[in-house]
Amino acid sequence: MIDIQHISAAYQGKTVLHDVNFTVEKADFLAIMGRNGSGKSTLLRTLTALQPLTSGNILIDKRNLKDYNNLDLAKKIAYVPQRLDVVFDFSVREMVMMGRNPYQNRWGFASDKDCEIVDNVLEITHLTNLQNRFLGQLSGGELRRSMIALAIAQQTPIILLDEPLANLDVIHQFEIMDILTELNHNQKVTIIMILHEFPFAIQYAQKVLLLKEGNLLSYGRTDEVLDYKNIKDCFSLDDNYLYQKDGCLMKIRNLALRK
Amino acid sequence: MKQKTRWLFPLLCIILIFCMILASTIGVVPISFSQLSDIVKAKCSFTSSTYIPDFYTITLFELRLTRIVMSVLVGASLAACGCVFQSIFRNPICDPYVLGISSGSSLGGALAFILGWDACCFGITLPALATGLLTLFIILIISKISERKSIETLLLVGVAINFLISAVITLLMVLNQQEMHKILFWTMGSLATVSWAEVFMMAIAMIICVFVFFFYAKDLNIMQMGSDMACNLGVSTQHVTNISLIFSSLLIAAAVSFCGVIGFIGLIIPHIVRLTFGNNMRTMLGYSLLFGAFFLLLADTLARTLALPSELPVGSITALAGAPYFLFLLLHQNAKR
Repeated sequence: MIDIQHISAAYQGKTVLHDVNFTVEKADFLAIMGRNGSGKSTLLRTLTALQPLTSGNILIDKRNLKDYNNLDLAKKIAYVPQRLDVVFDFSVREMVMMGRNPYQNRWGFASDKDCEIVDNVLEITHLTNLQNRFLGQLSGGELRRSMIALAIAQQTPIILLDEPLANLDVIHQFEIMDILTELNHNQKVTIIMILHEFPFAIQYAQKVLLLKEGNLLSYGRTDEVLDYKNIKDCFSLDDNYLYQKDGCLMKIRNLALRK
Repeated sequence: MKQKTRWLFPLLCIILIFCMILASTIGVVPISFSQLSDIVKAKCSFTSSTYIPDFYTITLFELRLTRIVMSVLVGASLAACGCVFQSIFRNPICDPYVLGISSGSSLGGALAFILGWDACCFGITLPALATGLLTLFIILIISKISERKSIETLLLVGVAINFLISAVITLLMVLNQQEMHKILFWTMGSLATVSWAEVFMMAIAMIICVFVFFFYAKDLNIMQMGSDMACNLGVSTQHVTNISLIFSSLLIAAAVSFCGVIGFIGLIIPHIVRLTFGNNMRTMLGYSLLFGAFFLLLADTLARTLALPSELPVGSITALAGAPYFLFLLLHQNAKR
């Protein structure tokens, strides 16, 4: 479904992705992991065409990303950024309705179908009661759910999320992962997300991609990729962290696997 | 809000027309409603029972109505441009003059005064319009060749050009002291000398530009959420930014070239509309047009009647009336939250 062919990308003159090559299948649930500054966000942004490539190609449904116009791409890929810088306040409903933009005509009046879809999305993201509240009045978790609701309203087969769990408490983290899992299972939506939380990656993601200094370190099934060697290598952890401090990291991993 | 806006907009349109009629009766030469009715009937070749001196007809049609209609058009245009600029730059304190288009137009106007073109038909207007658009062109070119191609760069280039041109105008005024008073009064904004031809040109410019703004209103609305979000929702942000900037600059250059620099409307009116009706671009544009028209009509009526028989600069009236109300709204809104 998404064929990433030997892509490289640079940010402010510095190459941050080197020859990354992998394929994502339909209805995959992929977690991209790695240290800060390893190129995770850049990789995600290349998939939305927000970040230009210096070499390589990205094919979505066998069609080059460069050949998509903005509207066509907006019907294929939804992107949830890490932060939303709210300058002008909109209500939750108004923002979620923006997700219908690719399907509306130039004058952009919401059809009955658009309203029905937005109602449904607000319900599955538990935002119905908050729909008239302004974005500036929402908590971090509510705002993150609103951003995800906008992406769901876009009705795309692929959703990309940049650290959707950052700065959220554990209940909100579970809530968001459950919403995404439901989408993945029921509507066969491909989910690609940047994650820092091992337990969530192990419990929810079918596949994991490890990035180290802009290079693809490992990619495959979660239980195969997240092993001792890869984790140690990817995060440059020494045995002090992996074993001597009660083997904290591996304990988390084992705990999550045990369920 | 939607229920409220449905009847409110047409009602305000009717009130605006009534206010324009009312404003046409006030001035150095008072005109009663019955006289007004007779003048209009006579002008439209209907039968009129009473004799109306030409003096009244000329006062109403050639002096008063021109500036009333122009104040409505310019007020509406500046407020609409303010909406567009604030959305593009995602900055609630952006006004249509921030990019330096108005300074560019002022430079053209100042040069025309110095060269003695002010006596010719459109002698001020055309150079002001030309330099305003030339300024936009220079700003776009500089921001295009800069390494950081962002909307912030465009804004910063505009601010720098604004300061540069303002300095040039000051120098021109100092070096041509005999024209200083004319240039200064013109740059402070005045609707006293507008003609029907200028009103007609302004109306055409406004209709075209406002149509473009409404055409791109949906995209501008989404761009208020940031350019990444807008791109992801299928908006061609670069295209929308360029088109909106070109048309709003055209409208600003036209307004400045006909009436000089009338400040504050492009900042305060979109802000008032935001606080009252929310941030939806289509609603904002509609109400900004109306409120801008109301505001400048009121300000110009005060400017020409407060210190009879002389006239006050309309720009100072807009600032004097607008700033306290703006502060009240801000404080009131903060208290509500």
